[in-house]
Amino acid sequence: MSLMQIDPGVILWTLIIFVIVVILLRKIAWKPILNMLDAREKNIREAVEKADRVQVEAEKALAEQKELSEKQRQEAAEFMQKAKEDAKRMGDEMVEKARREAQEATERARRQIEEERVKAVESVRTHAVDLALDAAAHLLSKKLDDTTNRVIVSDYIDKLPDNLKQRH
Amino acid sequence: MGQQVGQMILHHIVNGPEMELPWVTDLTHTVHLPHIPAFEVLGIVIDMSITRHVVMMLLAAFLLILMALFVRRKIALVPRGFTSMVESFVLFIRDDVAKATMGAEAARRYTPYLCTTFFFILTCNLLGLIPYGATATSNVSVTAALALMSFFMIQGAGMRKMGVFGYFGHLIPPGVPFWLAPVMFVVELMGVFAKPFALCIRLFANMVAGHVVILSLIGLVFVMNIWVFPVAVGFGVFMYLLELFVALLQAYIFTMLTSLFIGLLVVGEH
Repeated sequence: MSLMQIDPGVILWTLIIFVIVVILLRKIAWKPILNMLDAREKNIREAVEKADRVQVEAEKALAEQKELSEKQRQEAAEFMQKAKEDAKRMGDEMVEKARREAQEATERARRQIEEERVKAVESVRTHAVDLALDAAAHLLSKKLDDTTNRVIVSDYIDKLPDNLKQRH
Repeated sequence: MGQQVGQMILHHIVNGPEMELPWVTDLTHTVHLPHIPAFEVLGIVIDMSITRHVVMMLLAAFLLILMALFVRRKIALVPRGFTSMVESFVLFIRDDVAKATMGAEAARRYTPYLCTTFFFILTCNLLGLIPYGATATSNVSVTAALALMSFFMIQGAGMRKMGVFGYFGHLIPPGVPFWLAPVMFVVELMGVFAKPFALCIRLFANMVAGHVVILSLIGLVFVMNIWVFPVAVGFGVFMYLLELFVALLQAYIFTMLTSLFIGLLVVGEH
């Protein structure tokens, strides 16, 4: 019963027990745990890489989106500008056209009035000549040197429109 | 009285064919363990009787296998509870012991062995701190066997890496003058055996020392006076807590040094 006594039996027992434990634990616990640790590390590495990749993609997408919306905004502004210009031009054209048409109508009306007037003057003149001839014939059928008759003719002529007077 | 206390301390530390168990209703609580007749191999008498320390080692092995079976069912990418504790030890041994001393590639091969070494020694150490328990690692035969295993692992790793001839070649460091070579060979060969010898003695001595101190403190009560018990128990508790730490530390040191010696041969710039 000494402290430093070497006991071959105990050494053998220790070796047997220890070797069994080494083999069993290696199989049951350490290998699965180590494999799982590797899997976890791989998992984490991949997750980090994926997160990085996703972030880069998201930033790219955001930039694209911004660019796109900017473009669209610009396009919309251009479209609005163009529409405004178009509307203004069309309005101007319409006003111009209306003005022209009104002018034409006025012109036409004036011409028509002029024609009517000329026609009327013509007709009046014709009638006047007829009347004068009638009056002349009437007077001639009575007496011409009579002063009263002169007055009558003179008055008649006075009653005629001015331009008729000038012509005669 | 001092003589008797010394006997008591020795009795508690050394191996023996009987065990004290709380549920044995004998006055001494002693149970006699099965005796197996000794046999002789190559002139060495081998007594394979189940002794106290063998029982403690079997218990440690049983607990470790139980632990392994439990942990195996709970392995998950996201660890929980007891499994995550075992895992953190494994991770520590893999990264800070194996990888740090022998590089990632060799670490893959030797981590399982190092884990078992660590957990087996730790369990044996801790079982010695349980009442009625005995510390198998305070038996020099046990630590010698463990050191022998380390020795085989270290030399096996060296031969695996350098080949058998390369392994013996490395015992003569390069650049040594030829007339110095035989001397260097002997010195290096001594180093080969000194390493596991140191492992054996370090673990054994540390585990014995703590128990001797605790038992001596308790023994003071019998040697001196009953009234020293507050001091004796106080220091005893302190030593017990220190022993808990030493149990962990020595398991770590044994594992770390085994790993380091493997690393010296595997990484070897020779």
